[in-house]
Amino acid sequence: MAKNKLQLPPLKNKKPVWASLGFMGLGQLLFQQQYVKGAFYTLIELLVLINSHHFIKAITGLITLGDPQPDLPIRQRPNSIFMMVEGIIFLILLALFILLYISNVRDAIKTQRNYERTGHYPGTRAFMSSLADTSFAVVGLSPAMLMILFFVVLPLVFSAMLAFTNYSSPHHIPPANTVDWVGVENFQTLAGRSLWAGAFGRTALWTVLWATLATTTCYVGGLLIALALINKNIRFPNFFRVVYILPYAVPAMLSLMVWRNLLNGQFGPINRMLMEWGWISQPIHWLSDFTLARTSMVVVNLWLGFPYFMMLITGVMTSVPKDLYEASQIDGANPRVQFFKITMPLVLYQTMPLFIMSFSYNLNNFGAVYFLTGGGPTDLATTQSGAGATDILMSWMYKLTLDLRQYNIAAVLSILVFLVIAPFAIYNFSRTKAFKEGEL
Amino acid sequence: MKKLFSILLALALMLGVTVGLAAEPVTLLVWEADGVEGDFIKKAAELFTEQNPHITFNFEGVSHTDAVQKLELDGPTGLGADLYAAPHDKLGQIVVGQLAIPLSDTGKTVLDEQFMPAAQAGVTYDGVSYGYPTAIETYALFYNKDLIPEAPKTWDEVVEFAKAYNDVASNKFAMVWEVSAPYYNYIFISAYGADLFGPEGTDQSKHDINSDAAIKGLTYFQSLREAMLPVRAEDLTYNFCSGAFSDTKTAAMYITGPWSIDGVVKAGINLGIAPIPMLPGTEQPPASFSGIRAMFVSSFSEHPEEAKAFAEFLLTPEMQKLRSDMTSTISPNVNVTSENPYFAGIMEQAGYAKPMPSIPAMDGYWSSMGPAFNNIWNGNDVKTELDAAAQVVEAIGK
Amino acid sequence: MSTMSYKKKRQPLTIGRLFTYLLLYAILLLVVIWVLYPLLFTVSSAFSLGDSLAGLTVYPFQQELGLRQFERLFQDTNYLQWFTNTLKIATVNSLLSVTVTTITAFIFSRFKFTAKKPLMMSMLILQMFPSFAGMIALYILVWRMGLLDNHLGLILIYAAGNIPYNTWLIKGYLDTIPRSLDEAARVDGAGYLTSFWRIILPIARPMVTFLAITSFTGPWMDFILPRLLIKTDSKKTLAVGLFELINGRENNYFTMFAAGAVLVAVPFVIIFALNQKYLTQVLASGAVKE
Repeated sequence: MAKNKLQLPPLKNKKPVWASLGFMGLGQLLFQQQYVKGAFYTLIELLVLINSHHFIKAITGLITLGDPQPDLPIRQRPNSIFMMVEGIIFLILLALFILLYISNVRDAIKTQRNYERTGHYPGTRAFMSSLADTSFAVVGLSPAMLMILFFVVLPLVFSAMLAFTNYSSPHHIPPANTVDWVGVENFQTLAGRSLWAGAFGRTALWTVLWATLATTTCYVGGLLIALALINKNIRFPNFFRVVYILPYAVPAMLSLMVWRNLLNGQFGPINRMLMEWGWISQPIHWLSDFTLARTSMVVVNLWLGFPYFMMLITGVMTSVPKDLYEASQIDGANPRVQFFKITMPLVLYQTMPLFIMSFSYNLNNFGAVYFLTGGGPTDLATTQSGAGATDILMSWMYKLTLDLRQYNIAAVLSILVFLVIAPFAIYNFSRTKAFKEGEL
Repeated sequence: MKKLFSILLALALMLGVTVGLAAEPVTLLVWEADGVEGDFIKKAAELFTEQNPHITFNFEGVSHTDAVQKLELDGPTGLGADLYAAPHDKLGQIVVGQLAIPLSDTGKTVLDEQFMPAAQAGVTYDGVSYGYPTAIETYALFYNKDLIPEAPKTWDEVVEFAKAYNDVASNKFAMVWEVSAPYYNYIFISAYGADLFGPEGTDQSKHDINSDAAIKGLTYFQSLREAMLPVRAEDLTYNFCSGAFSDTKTAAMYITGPWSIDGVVKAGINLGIAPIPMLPGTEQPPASFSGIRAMFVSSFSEHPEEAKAFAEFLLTPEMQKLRSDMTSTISPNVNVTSENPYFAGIMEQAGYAKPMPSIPAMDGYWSSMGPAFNNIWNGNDVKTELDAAAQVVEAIGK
Repeated sequence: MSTMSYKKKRQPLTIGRLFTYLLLYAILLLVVIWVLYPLLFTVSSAFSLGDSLAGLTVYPFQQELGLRQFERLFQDTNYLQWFTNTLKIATVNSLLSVTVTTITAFIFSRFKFTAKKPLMMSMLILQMFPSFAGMIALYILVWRMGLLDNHLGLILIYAAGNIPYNTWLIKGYLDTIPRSLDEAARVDGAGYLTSFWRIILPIARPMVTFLAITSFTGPWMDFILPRLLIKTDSKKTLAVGLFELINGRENNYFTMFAAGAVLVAVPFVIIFALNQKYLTQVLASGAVKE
């Protein structure tokens, strides 16, 4: 709502506003003849009041996380994790309720102001049509917001909160045991575990390097192929395109497992073929040498990823309007100039959002690591911490969570990773087209 | 009036008691792996229902390694199974998490009287028994009789054989096995006397991972690479090892367990099974890990009595034999004999085997020894690696 | 390609040009081989008789071949059921995602309201938080909603996950559609819903199709979430069913897994191949508009 720069004169009759402040919908119902709206608000408050004991129980549960009661049979013991999740759910509901409350009061104010200006209250018909109109934004956004709140924000908040608990094996796994809040203790432990600091540093570095390499190679690869095929002098471009789409269409999990076998140093067909042809005399350690393993990962990922960018860039290139080229030709530009000054900038600008998205996808691309190398090859640091040469932060965290069941430490790592990624992502997103208002 | 009233009351009580005695229909949910194990459980359930018509069963295919973790979430929500299969090394997790109820007295008696000591030890924690053993297994030396007629008794013999047999260029190796797996390579730790977590496997302070005995054993392990299997650890995956033995038939020997028997026989291998070869300077095969597979009754079950009854039914020799036949695994019930010719070798090795420890600190063994074995095989310093692994194990539970 | 203007005419053939084009063809063919090589092995293992992934032969199709894996797939497993389940989930997810996302994007594009930019930014950033433990929270939430072992739970989670990124994408596209268009409609009395439905949506069809396709393909190979939320075997999705074939010590049916995955890939490949022209157009529909 646009706020007036001028100060609004105070309302003459404030009773409806006070009424709505006291109880949702009261002002609308009693004074403003807004029966449908009022009833809706009142209903909400009634629902909340009826269930207030649930709210209280859940939110206190979140704070205390239950007390150990070893005498109770296991089915009846308080389950800390369940309490935590339910606490967050009710917190979200509480926040929504507060928002609704505020909107209820603002609505009362607005209707009152309107009345003082025009002398009457909007009837039901006017209300209904306003629903499809000015309230369209609110009503239209609610399904999406609700879904995001519960299915995206809730798990995230839960995960982040775990970092401040001691939820881990062996002594703090519900339902037999309770979990407690430990503040920043986990962060201190992590900092103190020098064994892990080295592994964390190496893994973090590789994660960023990997995401950069993976995304860039796929992009450039796709770009080059798209360029090659768009050239009129190449025949059968469609045949090539169909073949090149195949890696995109076949499930990645399967392809990765096949590649893993193909690249096996001793038994894999690639090495055996090369030795048969006499090209090499010793097997190449595609997946067991540190640097080679990382390179293989990038190359296999390129195999999986270039089709997507190829298709994307082809499409973008073909929808560049002809007039631009014709105009530049009239001005004397040759094909090379056209490419560098027209095609490339436009393609880059159009595809940058997807490049960013692909980058953040690769930062967390646990599948590529898990199915191709399992995080290997290993070294002493792996024995100490579980992180191998090709492990990225995400796959390392998966190992920690599953194998050692140190959920709280994994949560700490999640937060650290996120704190690093977020500023970078925010910066890049804010520079994209969608964030700049207005038309192109 | 009073008399009438008390007669009516007595009648009502009798009626109530009779009604209560007539068993109400109960449905039990069972978790067991899909495949032959699942088939057996379904059959056993059928037979049990014939004798107890008011108890019926539902079945969900859940891998026995997943069941415990699943129960942690499904139990509290009421969706967990009443009975589930799990390997005994999850017992620590089960007890700490209180996910199973102990055996009844009758069950315990049967366990003590009819089952092998290793089976008893595997399902008992701090003196209380929780599991109903259904199979016992360990790994042993599988050999292809067409390629090597008699199994070697010592590793030195294996090395000798390899000198003549190996042809690296065509990927022919005398023996293959997964050299990075903490499960199989325990034999090199145990050979010279290191005992993981003590004789009962419950002493957290005595892990012996970086003891002198372990170092000696793993130094020998490291020498084997050059001596007979010059392949990097990362390349010896399950796929290629079993393929080399069963599909291309280029490997004469393979260390694996009874779960592989079916596949190997179907591939047409003339299979022999023998105990694991002895390390130099020892007089008996090294201790391998034995695993007991057991059924557990969930502590979240609403019908614990019925579930226990079914579990005890599974302990009877008839059911144990049926399972052994259907799944090609060995029953831990001493009253069960099997005609399966391959079991003899496994049983012989089982005599030397040690049940996998199930205490929580064992998690550290699994997570750190994998990379350790891998690195040692590839040439890293034995003591450094073992010290690092020991640190991980010691850090757990602190 | 009809708007193609780049290098309109075929240029005269000189020796230099010939050489360049031959080189280009050679490179393209090499890439073809690189692409097909693992795929041939994949298909070959689907037709192999043994259990281990056919990485043992030096060239594909060298081992004994047969239809055994496919037979086992249909006889021993609930493959068809899994397939239909996943098809249903993917379709509904696609519809739901498209509906919710396009309306949301429309609102973000056309309306001004407080906290719009921070809201959109937070939506995007929050999605990037790496978390496995979040699954536990989702499990408890879905349980409380009574949707455990129910496909609807899965669909809601998938659709919710699709919202942030795709809203941003579609909003960017909608921004390029001049406001004057729907404003004119509103002047004529059409409400927001009508102008959205009648005017914006048809123009945005390529982008919407893109969203429909990506949210359709998403659920096919995800196994982590369904494994957690779906219990009964008859309700399982394809990814879970196939994954369990290779997970765990006794279940090492890699070739059966390959057969199952190849069967899934076939319709996808055909769809992609037949429509690749339309698809490239669709994928690029964030393209420059005049």
